[in-house]
Amino acid sequence: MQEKLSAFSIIAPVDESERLLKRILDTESVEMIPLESILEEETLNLLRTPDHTFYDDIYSKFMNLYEMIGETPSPEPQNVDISKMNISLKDVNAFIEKVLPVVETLHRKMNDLKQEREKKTKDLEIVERLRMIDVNLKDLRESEFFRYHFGNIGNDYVERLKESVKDEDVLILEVAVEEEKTWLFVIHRKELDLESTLTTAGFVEYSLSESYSGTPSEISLQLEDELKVLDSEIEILNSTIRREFYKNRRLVKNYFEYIYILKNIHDLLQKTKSTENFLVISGWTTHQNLEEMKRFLESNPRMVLLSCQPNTKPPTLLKNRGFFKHFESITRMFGIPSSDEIDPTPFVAIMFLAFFGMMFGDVGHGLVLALFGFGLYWRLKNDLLYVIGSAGVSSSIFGMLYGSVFGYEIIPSIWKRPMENINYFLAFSIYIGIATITFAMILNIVNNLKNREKRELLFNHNGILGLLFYWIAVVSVLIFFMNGSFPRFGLISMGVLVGVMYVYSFIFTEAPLSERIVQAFFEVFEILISYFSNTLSFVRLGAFALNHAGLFLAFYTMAKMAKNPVVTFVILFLGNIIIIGLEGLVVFIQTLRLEFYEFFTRFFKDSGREFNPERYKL
Amino acid sequence: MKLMGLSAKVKAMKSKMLTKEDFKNLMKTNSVIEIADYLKQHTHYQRFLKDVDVSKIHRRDLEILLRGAIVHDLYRIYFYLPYDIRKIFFMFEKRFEIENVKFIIRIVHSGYFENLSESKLYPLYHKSVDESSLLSAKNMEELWKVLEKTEYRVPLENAYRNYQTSGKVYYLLNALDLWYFLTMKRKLSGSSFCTEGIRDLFYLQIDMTNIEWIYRARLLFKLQPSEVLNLLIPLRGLLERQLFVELSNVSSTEEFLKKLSQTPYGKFFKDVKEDDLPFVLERICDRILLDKARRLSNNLQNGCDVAGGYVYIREYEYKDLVTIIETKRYSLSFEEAKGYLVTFEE
Repeated sequence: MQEKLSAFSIIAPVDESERLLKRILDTESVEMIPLESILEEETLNLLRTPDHTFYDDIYSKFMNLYEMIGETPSPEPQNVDISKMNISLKDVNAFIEKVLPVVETLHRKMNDLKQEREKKTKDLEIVERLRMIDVNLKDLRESEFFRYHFGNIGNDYVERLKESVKDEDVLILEVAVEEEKTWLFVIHRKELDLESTLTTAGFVEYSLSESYSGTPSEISLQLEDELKVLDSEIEILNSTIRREFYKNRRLVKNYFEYIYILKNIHDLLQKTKSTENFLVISGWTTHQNLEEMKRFLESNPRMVLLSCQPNTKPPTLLKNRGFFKHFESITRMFGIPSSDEIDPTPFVAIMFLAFFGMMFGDVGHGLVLALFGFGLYWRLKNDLLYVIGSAGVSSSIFGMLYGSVFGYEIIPSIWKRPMENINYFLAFSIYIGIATITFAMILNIVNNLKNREKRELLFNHNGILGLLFYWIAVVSVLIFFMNGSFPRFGLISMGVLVGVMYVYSFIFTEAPLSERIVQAFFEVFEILISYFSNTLSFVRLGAFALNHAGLFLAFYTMAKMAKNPVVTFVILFLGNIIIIGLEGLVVFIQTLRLEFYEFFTRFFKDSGREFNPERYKL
Repeated sequence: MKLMGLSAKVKAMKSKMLTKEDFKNLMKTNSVIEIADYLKQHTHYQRFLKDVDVSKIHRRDLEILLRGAIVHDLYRIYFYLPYDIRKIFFMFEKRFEIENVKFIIRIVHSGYFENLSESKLYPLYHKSVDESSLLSAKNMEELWKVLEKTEYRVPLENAYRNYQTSGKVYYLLNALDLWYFLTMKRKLSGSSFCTEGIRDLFYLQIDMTNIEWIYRARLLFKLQPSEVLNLLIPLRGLLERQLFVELSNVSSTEEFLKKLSQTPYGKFFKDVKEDDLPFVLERICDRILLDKARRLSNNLQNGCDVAGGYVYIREYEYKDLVTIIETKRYSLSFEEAKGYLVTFEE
């Protein structure tokens, strides 16, 4: 179902703009229409777009404050009447100018400490890698004869480096080997200039501060202590910042809410135009909200409500109720119907459950899926989980029809058992296919009628011509199966209809003549094939019902072969998990395929744009 | 017989490559416009030039079109490759991406941003880097921020730190080249299916590249032996490790040629005069490689060999075309120009 949206325009005095736009934001039911698509250029030239950056600066200061505290603001603008807040911008400015510098200074100090901690943590990592070297680094640094370098190099280049200096007075120790790099400790004769060779080799040196002395193990202990001191200092500063914030928490919240509302209003002002005294806005809204808007304007005689005719199609607002609402997610996966199309969601819901249940009919497996889907939906509120839960219920219902519980056919079947009625189920699937395709064509015809697309209605392969051809073909095939001969009437009329299709395609193909001849032929050929293949495609409904029983039979046979009852149980348990997980997924995909490919492509143009009402944004 | 479909496809593509006659005609042209016109009228480049008004074409535009053609040829081969082999051919294309990245690094380093545009890059079909982000970098820091989120972080991490301290861009360029060779080596080691011929060709390429790099680093740039050794690809084909040590210790061209003549590639260098070496070294190395690639590509039994060899031969055709275009820029005669080509021999 779709909710019809109406376009409206309001002309209001500029001094009422904040009140009007706040109301629009509060309702969350208005999508602004660019005035360029309504007004003529001459009129537009007389209007201007108001400046919207007025509150940006102070808003970013508040956001900065929240960020430094490490909190996300959660304003509740709908419940607030800004005219009754008794807040002046001057007060807010004075407040933020007083609080922010204090918090900023503390925060800066904390960042400095964090940087120092980061540096010392890196030093510690380096020193940790050097633990195997039991030498006082200060002694080595001040040695008259040696120099040392510590750093890393790509694993591929270690041997090359060693090879290149093997005739020199150089000692290379591999102190740590990681996934991509090797850490090296290189000692060499002081006179030897090794820097350029090391750099060329891709060696990157890491140097420690000269303030460290002792062996790497001793430095490591020293650094660990220093890091603990830094951690506690950071913690103290953090607490101080939070204290500063909590002291003013109530004011910060109120002031931020005030600025937040004004900023959002002024952002929305960007989508309006105004003269010196009047503001013009235009938007799409629901019928209910339009009525409320009218009542609101009745009590505000300075504002005028007008209806308008934008030169674009209205956006789409899917409005399915209750159970069907959750299946909108399946429709959205494919696309959004345009406002003049039928919303297929209710049909999608019914067909999805019927197809899934038929392919995966089992009381036990269905209940597991239902528990899984609804259980997670209860926590996560994700529509797809609701769909899985519903599919589980459908499976259970079909399981009762088939008489199957966790693969065992231990309850009497209300309908028929698939494995005992293979031909019946395959034929039944085809009948469902014929019904689905016919229904899709009828929906297409309704869409064509709604949009007054006469040509499409009559000649499209999913229009009246297509439906006629399809049913003549279906009846002819049925007669062929009953009598053994194809009815002449069927052949002649199909031939005529194919001819009409070809002429239609030939006339309306945009290409050079020779290309049109060939292209039209292949188009018609593809259409004919698609009637046939799409109908046959529904055989999967029966095939998967058989497959479900067959897959369990395989696990059951394996379980019977095992003599140990524990092994038997494990095989059956794992088998059922695989059936629910793997086959459940495959059937889910197959169901989507039948909906999207066989059903949707015959009538659903996916040319809509979802209704996107104006909302407060953080 | 292996991968005959691939073999047939590549041989069909190979049959359309430029002939000796084409090269002669191209060298005899008087301008870039005439080159473009000839390519449009008589060669397989026709499809890339069909919508181009060659009478107004600029040298750079023609080179860009030729780049597009070589990458497109590689792309056409993909569809005939088994999955196992495809990763190797991805690497062949990856080399063009590396060239793009190197080009951008050079420009950003030099600051001549007016030379930087997407049209000057190889138009790739498989990309691992968002080129528009690279192109939007205004300095090396910004460029690094983009690159460090890509697979090039690994080879460039250390090189970038060294670049920061030294300002020498060749650390970055060299690191990318080395990464290509090391990664290709891993891919080839991991693929056991009919890639022996490509592997041999690849190791020959490594030997040739190392010879050229040693010559440049030691005799032209006068680097220390230990520095020279650390510039090389840490892989070897037929050359011994000791030879690299000896070559990087030479002090003259004569000594370099003498050492080289004792290697399995010695016969190609025995008649080379010392004074000519700077001008002919690259061409000799290219011709050794081209010769091997041609032999590989003529293999009737293995489609992999045919395709692998073709990729190298095709690249030399591109290089020679670029050389011919350059000869017009410097107004070289036919006789002068032909000496610079790799694929052309009278």
